[in-house]
Amino acid sequence: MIRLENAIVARLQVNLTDAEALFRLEVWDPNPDCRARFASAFGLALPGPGQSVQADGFRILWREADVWLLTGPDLSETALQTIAAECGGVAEVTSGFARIVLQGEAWRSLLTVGAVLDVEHPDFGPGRTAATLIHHTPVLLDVQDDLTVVAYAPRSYGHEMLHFWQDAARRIG
Amino acid sequence: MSRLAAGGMVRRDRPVSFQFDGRTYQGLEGDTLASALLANGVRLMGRSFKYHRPRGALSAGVEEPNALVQVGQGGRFEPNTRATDLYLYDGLVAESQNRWPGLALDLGAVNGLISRFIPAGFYYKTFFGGPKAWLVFEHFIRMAAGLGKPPTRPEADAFEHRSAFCDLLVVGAGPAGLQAALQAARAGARVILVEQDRQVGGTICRDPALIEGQEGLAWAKAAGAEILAAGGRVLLRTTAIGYWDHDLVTLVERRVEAGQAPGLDGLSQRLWHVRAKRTILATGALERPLLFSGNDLPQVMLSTAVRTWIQRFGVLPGRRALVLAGDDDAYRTADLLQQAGAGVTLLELRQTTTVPGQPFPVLTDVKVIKATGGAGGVRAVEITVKGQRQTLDCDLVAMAGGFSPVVHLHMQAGGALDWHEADGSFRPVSPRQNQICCGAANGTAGLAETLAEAQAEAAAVLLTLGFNRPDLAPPSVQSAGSSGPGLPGLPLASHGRAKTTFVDFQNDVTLSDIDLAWREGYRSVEHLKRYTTLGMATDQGKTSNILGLTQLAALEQRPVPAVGTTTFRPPYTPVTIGALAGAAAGGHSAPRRRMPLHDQHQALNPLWQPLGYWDRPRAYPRPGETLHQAALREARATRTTVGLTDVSTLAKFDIQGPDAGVFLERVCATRVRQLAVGRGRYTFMLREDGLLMDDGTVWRLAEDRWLLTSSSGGADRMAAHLSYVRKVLAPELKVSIANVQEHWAAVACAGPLAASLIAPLLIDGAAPAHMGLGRGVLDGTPLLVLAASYSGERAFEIYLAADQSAGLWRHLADKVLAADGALYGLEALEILRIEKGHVVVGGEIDGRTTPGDLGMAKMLRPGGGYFGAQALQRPALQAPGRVQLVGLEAMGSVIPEGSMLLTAPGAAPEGHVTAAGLRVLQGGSIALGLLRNGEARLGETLLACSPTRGVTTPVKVVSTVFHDPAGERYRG
Amino acid sequence: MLLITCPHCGERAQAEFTYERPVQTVIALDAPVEVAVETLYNRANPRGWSWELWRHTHGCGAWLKLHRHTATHEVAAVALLEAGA
Repeated sequence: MIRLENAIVARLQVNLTDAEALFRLEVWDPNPDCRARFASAFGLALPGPGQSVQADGFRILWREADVWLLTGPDLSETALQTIAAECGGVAEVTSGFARIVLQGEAWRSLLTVGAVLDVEHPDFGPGRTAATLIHHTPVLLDVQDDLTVVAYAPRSYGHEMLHFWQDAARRIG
Repeated sequence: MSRLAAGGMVRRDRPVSFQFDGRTYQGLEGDTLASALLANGVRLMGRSFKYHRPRGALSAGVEEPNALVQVGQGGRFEPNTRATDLYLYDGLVAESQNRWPGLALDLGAVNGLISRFIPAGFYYKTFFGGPKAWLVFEHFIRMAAGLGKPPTRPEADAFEHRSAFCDLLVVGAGPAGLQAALQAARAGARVILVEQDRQVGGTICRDPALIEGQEGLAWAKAAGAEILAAGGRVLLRTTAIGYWDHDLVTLVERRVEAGQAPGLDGLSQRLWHVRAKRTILATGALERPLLFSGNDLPQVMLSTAVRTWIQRFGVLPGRRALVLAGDDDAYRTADLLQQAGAGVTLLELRQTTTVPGQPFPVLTDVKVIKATGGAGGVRAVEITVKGQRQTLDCDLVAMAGGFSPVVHLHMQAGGALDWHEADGSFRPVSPRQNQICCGAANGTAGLAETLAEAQAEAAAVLLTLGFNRPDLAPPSVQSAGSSGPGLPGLPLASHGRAKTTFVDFQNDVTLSDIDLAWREGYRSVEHLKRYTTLGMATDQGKTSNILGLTQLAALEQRPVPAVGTTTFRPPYTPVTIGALAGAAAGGHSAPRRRMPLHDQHQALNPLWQPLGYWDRPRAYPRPGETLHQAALREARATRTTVGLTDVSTLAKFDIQGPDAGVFLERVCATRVRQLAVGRGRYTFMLREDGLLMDDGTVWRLAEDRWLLTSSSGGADRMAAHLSYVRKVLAPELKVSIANVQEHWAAVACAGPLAASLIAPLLIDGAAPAHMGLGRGVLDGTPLLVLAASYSGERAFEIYLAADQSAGLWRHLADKVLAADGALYGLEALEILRIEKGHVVVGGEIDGRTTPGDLGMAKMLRPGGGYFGAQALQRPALQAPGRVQLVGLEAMGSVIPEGSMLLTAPGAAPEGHVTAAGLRVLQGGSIALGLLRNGEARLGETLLACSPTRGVTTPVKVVSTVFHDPAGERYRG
Repeated sequence: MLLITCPHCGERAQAEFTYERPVQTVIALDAPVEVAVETLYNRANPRGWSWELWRHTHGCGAWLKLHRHTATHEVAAVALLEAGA
């Protein structure tokens, strides 16, 4: 199991948390009926590039063209595969990620460290996702609210990323 | 003392203690090391590079070529720091460089006596004596070379990299930069203003003025505050060091001074990557020295530096001053010197007869011949006035040689230059990227004109970015100070001895060196630089380049722009490597990837092996065991009872969809689609040129669901490759590809007892048959069990979610050890696979071999259609005489890995040993190799020759499968 | 470091991308042998404008066609590769 570690800093907390179940959905059929199928099953449309949506009990993050990540404690691969049917493939990827939560008003400053993405742009806020490179690590950022960003790094990079961010967070003070 | 009773921007209520060359001095907060030394009457600050001539500070800024010091101690040490660009802090410890035993008495000065033997480029001439002579010269040249000493302790402090984005980046917080940044900030643009000094103001700090009725400095501070209040970023003590592609500008921010302990954030420096939509370069201009014999003496300095010492630091550098006017700006210096109480005479060097109305004596029609003096500084200057020789006593000479706009960033951005003959300056033109130069950097003179220009440029930038027009009128200016006769400042000829007229102070390049280079045929400006070293080292020719190429142009009898400039390269000022490394230092210079079972391995204290970005256990030695002993024990256990190893780093892909099988047959060169559900097979993939790229296994988990595995080392490459085939070559296929390398941990259990350990985990209680698969469960965690063998024993790879892998590892490890088996690492894995003749990526799959070369031609899928199929048809890849995979048995000593295979001593090699191992149970050295026509040479005796080890030993060519050739063991 | 506008993700730093290959070096899986080998080993190397494939590896993974000037690094156009990018 991934250990819980905390770094409590005045304006920013950086925690490595257990990953909620995470599934990768790839839609291989461009037929619009397929999109409609998901919309009716989830109660909302799949999000577009750089967006996330909160469905009932789970989040959907845009990952690539025709690829989404779904995360939530009650999801299961078989249930999602039933929904996807002949439209696409579903694979569980939960253990493949280190899930690091950045909590606090200084998350934008933190995400400028060792990074190349314009996180200080006024448009980059809740509901936005971005995949980018930070400290030689591919990271997917999910801005959940004004004070919370969930970062997904490949599991094997998680240890290094956690310490990198905790170190940088301490410097932000 | 030279400190004036009042004035300057130093804090007279805050003394600061510091050390220079072992002596303790007092300075004031706000002093630089150089200003504090001058205040204490210390004028000798360095010894020149080659001739060890005594030197003082030439300038008051980053362009300083002479006053280089090493500062700090231990892990906080910076050599070659400019004393003029180092602010005092308590406990500062600085030492001069390039002198022994001391600055005042430097034995290196003997070089001055032999100077005619060591002009520019002399060391090239030492090559003519042949290698033995050169080695003698080399010893002494190497000792003498270099400025400053490198640090000897690892860096103690931290560095950080940050990125920032803006609509407008303004480089330089002098009047031009402040005005432009202010307008942009008022209009609501994202603004970043950077300034290398520790306060805003630029030239206002040395030349007071009234702006909008306010004191210039107060105006500057208010502008800076307003920019901050509007949400702009103002970075002080920050230098823009490079302008790169697409308007990326890198900045180095000093969080503390060189050698100073960091503050609360622990940072020494920060490197910023700024992406700006537009950049205004308000980088100012640097003053040029004048050319006369002895112009390098201490107390011969730039005219603007004199004003900075007086105005900024409250230091009067001399009491009997001569101001050499090569331009009008000299008059401001003469004025200020007189007001500060010095005796001053201005020597007008340009063509004019009288200069009316000056409050100080002026001599016209002057030619400067030479300055005389010693380590204590200049004492007199010999001149001609209207042709008559005179000698004037002095203790300070201020040189006003005109200004060179600082165009470095503009040039790095790909800009061009226009030569202005009138004042001997290059001005920036043709930006090429989104940069604009402004103020003195653009050749603009006068404070009012500069502010107006900055206003206009900011307005233009804001319009193009879609912001509202800012205020219409630039601020009014009422400045003070003498103005000169209104004559242009031209580069002037020299009249003294060329051998002692210095052009590049840092590299000790004189006028005669430039003449010498030209005479010897080094006539391009780039050759001049390399031959003489003019323009190299820490100052990069900031005070010398223009003078040097003006001289070259005169020798060439060509106009200056035809001679051109050398390439402008980052960094603008020296940068410590730590700043460029940021957090990527020590063990963090590359990603460090951890396996899911890292902690479990670590508890057993294995020998770790870095492999790509991973650390993997190489062996688990017991106390007293060598690596070799441990690996052999582990391999033997696997062959006789059971072994357990972690293979989690394998590449793994979950491939689904109606076209999944079709897709796999595009990537893999073997048959795939006819695999039954629940079965797997070995497969391999080619490169586009037909050679082997990688190998692995493919398993059919369901009708339309497959698992592809391939080598750990090639995992990222395979992911990229699958993406290429999927999206570029076969986009019409209905398939999904999920990279599940990290989601699945995988452990392999191999040996005669493996099946009995694994069977209880299977849902149906039976271990799957060879190349079959089964589903299992342990404590509620689903397991995928694949019967694949790399070791050659009956073996199983168990795949499960990495989050749950510790439980399975503990469960199996306990059982393995209880059965008298062993955990095994990479070393044992290698020994086992060699004995089975299994090829590995990097060893036998080395980018030069085809499937046929490795005995796998029969596995190729007829009909082609796979990636690389076409190029594999090339005649050379099918021709006879290619190397082929063989086994080798030692007939003498141990076969060295990598040795060449020869038929007789001295013969041409016919192949090489790809992997050396041993027979696990019987002992004896064996190997795998690639040998020309190998398959037809079984039984032949060859020599394995390793010149680097001094070993040649006989070997016999045998089958590649040393252990269990019939394959009975892994089939169970 | 170049700034590349990914059609999905907007302006991003070059560090997130991989330069893959010039567009004309793509060899179709069913290309005849002679065409494949010719494309593999003979290619233009212009000092000038070049159509290239890049991949937004550490972003959205999309395959992009870039029109880049090989001497000045100007990028005149960025587009998704046609179907299934």
